[in-house]
Amino acid sequence: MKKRVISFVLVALLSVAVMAGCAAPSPVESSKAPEASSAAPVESSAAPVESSEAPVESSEAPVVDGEKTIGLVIWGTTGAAALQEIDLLNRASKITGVKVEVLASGYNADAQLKDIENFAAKGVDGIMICNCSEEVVAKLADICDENGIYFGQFHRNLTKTDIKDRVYSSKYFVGNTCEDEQGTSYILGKTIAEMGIKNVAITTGPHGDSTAEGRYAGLKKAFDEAGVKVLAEQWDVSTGETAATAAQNFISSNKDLELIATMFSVEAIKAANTAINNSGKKGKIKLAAQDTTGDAAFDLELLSSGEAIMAGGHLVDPIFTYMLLCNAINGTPLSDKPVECRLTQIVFTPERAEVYFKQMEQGNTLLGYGDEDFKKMFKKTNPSVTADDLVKMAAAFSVEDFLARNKK
Amino acid sequence: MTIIAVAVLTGLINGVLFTVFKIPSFILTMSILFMYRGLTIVACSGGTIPIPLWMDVLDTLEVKLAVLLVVLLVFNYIYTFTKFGLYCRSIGSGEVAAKYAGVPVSKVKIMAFVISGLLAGITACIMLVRNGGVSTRFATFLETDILTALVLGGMPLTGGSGARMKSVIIGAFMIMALKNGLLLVGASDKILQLLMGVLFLIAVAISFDRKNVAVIK
Repeated sequence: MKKRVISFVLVALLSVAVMAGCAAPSPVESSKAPEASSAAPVESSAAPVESSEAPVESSEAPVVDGEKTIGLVIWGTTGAAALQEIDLLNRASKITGVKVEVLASGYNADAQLKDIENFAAKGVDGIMICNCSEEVVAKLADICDENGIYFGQFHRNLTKTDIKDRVYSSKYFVGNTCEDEQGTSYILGKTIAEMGIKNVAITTGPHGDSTAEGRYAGLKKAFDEAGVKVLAEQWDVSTGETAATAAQNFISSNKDLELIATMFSVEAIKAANTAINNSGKKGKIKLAAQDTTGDAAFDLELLSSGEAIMAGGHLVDPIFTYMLLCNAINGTPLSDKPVECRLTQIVFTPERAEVYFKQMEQGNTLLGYGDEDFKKMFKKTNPSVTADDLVKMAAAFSVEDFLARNKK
Repeated sequence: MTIIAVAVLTGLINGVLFTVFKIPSFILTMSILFMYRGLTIVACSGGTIPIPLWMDVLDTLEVKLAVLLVVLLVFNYIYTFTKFGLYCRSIGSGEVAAKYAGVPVSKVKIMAFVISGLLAGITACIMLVRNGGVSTRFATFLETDILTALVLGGMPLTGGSGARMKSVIIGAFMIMALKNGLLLVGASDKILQLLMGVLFLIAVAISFDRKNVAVIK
């Protein structure tokens, strides 16, 4: 009798789940509805013109302001960087009315593909992704084309020609935002060399990840030119745990080690710093990073004491892709071709660190851009905005730009 | 083809090690899994090995359904209507009795591992095409999903004549419907893992045949 009762409960639970799945709105109807209702000018973009034919069938579908959604596929939701970026997008969504939903099943292809499929099934209007590999973006393009969903990348671009051709040919691809990883890491490498450091170890992300590859390439180039020796390196270090293990191994195996460069993952910075402190090498082994930890006091202390050389401030990156998507979803795309926004990372000097960590980043809030800036990026609140304006805003991002925009 | 060949060879190795050295199959296969994970990490050098973009044409519902149907039909026939299938069920129900009844237990077990390897290879091909490449995190914890699906579908953990092909189908569809349904109603993916674990525990507790297991460790 007991077994039957439990079996009945299980069946009921599973039936509810199956009914919920069947009752979910069709992704095709929900993503085409906004296009049906928007007054998209013919000359502005290919996408609104083509899709305006199909919505004749679904034009009765009501479009309610604030019900549009962008799915965010991100590496995690517990680290400082992710929390800051999600907070930034949530603040922007109050201006645009386009909600952000987050899925972060893991930083690997299978998990990201599942997140994308789940978003498509949920009927989101747009998807923005920080992809773990470029192949995932090719799959994303297939799914978005099938379901009529706009998509874009943040913190990433496409370097493989065949994948880039495939993705750029999609009428739903709005573009990407990324940083000049190689350029910034080259500057970092030069700075390290100028400090007289001769023996370093490097951790970076997975092979195939454009950020990891770019950062490594720039750093290695600078080191090769300056005669700095790379004693050890480890790839695919994307969590605090793997960073701690790597740092401990570097320290125990290399007596001449002077610096550990953690070139991927925010969690890796604190983990490596802890490993240095625990081994009694505080002050003897320095740290370099191309991210900030999200703990402003910690970062400021490391920078001002000379224990670390850092670049960062690029956590505002997603806002540009978000705005490209919002404008496209609302039927007022900024361009009929994919837009590439390029952000410059801040290489921290003591003066810049003082402004950045006290005024531009506070807890989980990124203040690099505020409500007035969001209004300038969104066509509904600023009808004259163009794709070029967005590109220029991204390129201009710096401590000096922030101070100029927030002059009181 | 290379994937299938390696998978079949792995199944053969598993089967031989199991029958010759009498290592419990769960421990043996987990050890081989860890070994292959290590090899993957070395081969991938901490990154992804992509496949050519043209292979995308294989990542369609039609291809996957066709493969699924062929596999189900072929192996259901083998399991239900052939001597080999009968031998498998009899070994599952009682190995000692089967041996005394003249069933070539070792050969059947090795063949079962080879078939398992073949099916794993087919699955790997489908997943490879879906993901666009292989990485160090390829198919991590997939084994737990498979176990949960089998148990939910009513497959007896001890095997034997109670094992049915339909359990596999029912279990697989149930787990996917449950996962997707819960996500669509807004359940967090972290709560999903917790729920799947609880479900697995309940399903095992209900379905485990305590009477026919001599010692429950």
